[in-house]
Amino acid sequence: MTAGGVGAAARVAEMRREFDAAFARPPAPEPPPAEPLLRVSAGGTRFFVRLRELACVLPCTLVVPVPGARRGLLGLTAVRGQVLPLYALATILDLPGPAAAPRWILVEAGRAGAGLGVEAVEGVSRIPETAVREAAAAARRAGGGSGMLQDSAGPRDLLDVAAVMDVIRKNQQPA
Amino acid sequence: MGSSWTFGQKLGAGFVVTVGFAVVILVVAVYAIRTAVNSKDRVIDVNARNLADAGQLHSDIEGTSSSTRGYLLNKDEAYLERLRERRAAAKANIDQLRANSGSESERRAVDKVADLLDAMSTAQDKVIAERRTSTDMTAIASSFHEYVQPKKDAISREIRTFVADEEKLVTDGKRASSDAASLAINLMIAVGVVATLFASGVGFLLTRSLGTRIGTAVNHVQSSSAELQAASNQQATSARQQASAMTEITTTISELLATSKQIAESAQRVAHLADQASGSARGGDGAVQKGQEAVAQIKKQMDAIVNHMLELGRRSQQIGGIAEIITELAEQTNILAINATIEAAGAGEAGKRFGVVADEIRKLADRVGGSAKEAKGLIDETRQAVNTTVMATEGGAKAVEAGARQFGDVAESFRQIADLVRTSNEAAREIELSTKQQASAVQQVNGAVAELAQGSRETEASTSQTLQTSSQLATLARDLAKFVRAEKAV
Repeated sequence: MTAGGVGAAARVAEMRREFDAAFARPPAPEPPPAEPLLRVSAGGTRFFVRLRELACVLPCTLVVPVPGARRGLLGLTAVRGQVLPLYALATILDLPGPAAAPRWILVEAGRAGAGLGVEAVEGVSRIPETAVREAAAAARRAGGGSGMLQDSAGPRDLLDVAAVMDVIRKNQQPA
Repeated sequence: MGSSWTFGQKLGAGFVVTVGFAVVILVVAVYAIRTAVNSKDRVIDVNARNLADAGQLHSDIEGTSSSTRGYLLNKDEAYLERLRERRAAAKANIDQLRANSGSESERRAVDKVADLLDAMSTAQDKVIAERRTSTDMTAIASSFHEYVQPKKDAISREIRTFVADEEKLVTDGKRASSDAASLAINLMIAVGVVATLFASGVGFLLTRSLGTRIGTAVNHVQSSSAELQAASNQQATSARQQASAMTEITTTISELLATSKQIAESAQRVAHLADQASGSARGGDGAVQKGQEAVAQIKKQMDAIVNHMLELGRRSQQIGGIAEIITELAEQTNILAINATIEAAGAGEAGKRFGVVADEIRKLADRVGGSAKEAKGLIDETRQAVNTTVMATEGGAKAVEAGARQFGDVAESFRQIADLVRTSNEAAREIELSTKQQASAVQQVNGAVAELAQGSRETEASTSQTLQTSSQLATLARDLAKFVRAEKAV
């Protein structure tokens, strides 16, 4: 067996051991209050998204283009039996990086008026709630995503989904 | 006389002209002799004959007169018969004279004699008839003297005149013959003088031309003798040098003979070495054939390795597909865990424990996804390694094929080497044989060169003789030139 094969078997054994040990481990002491944030990327920019602002995350499988759509509107899609307009986050925020086709749809919680298309969902990080609130306030003031947070993977902006939806609604209103 | 003529042509032309003059002299002499002979023959055949006939005619006339007188005196018939015979003879003479008459005067004289003869015959017949009837001799004698005698006298005068004329013609003929002979003699003397003068002139010209030409030829002979003397000197020098060179050649050929023997010995050793090399080449050929078989076996093994590696690549690709499925499942599990976390957060305190489980599931999905990515990376590395191995194996297979071809080339080269060694062996033996023949030939050449050296020495001796002869020839040419110049001066 090669060195790579030995490493993979050891990894599997370790994972199995940790999984089994998780059930036998006593509950961990109460960590400091932290809020789970979703790590996404769009237009070459990485963002944190608060899970509490999302109704769900879905794969972007079927999008029907709309003729004469406004800027940033990719089309219509169906989420749990409801038709939602899908917007490209990179286009809405005028991000400088290359705009690839979105693979994931972030559905706004609450009103569920629209979906935001992002290129990648990288995972979930837990950030202390105080830092998240401060960043959310800063993002609210900036009208989008300018509140900076940092986890083990590095710093990135906190995306204020409600502010983005306000921008979309503002763009939908006739001039 | 043309200056381009040769001396022989000039001499021939002189002889031709001289012979021409001799022919002219001969023709003139023949003409003169023939003219003199003709003149003499005419004198003898015509005039002398006429004189004789005239005499005979005069005798016949006298006979007729005598016969008439006899009949008149005797009255004998026999006289009459004799008279007729004389008359017939006289007429025959007259006819002969008329036939031989060459001039009109002669014919007139003959005719006149014939008329007088007829008149005398008539007179005689008249007197004879009177005699027959009369016996008066006096009257008859008177008639005879009156009629016959004058006629006879007239005939005699005419005959004498004719004879005188003929004698004159004889004299004239003799004179004409003498004149023709004298003319011919004078003409021959003139032609002879001219021929003598011409022959003298031709001889003088030929002598002068011959002298000039001989002088020129002597000058040429003199210059040629000098050149021949110089050439003989040079040839003598060359002959001496040639003899010296022949000696050197003899020495060189002796050395060449020794070298040829050494070459023959070397060729023999080369043939022996070629035999050994041929055996080695055959051994190498067998070893190369075994190596070729081993390379073919390696090639077969390499093909099997390539097939196994390609199968491994296909299996790795299938494992990669499975890993992608695992990655997809882990991603979907992660998304489900995220949505579960969201739902748990929406459930408030009641969903907190569910959120913990969802968070654990999400972490597990993250780790499964990471492991699946690592597995995919390992599989990619494996596929890449397989591809590299396949390419290396294919390169090895190609190298093995190239090695096999090279082994084939080496085997072919060994065969060629064996052929070349065999050819070299044959060539060495041919060289050995040729060198022996060459040594034999060199020995023969050595003998021939020795003979040639002897010939060179003889040539040197004969060249000295030639030099001496050319010197004598030059002296002779100078003497001859002096002689010719002296002759010309004279």
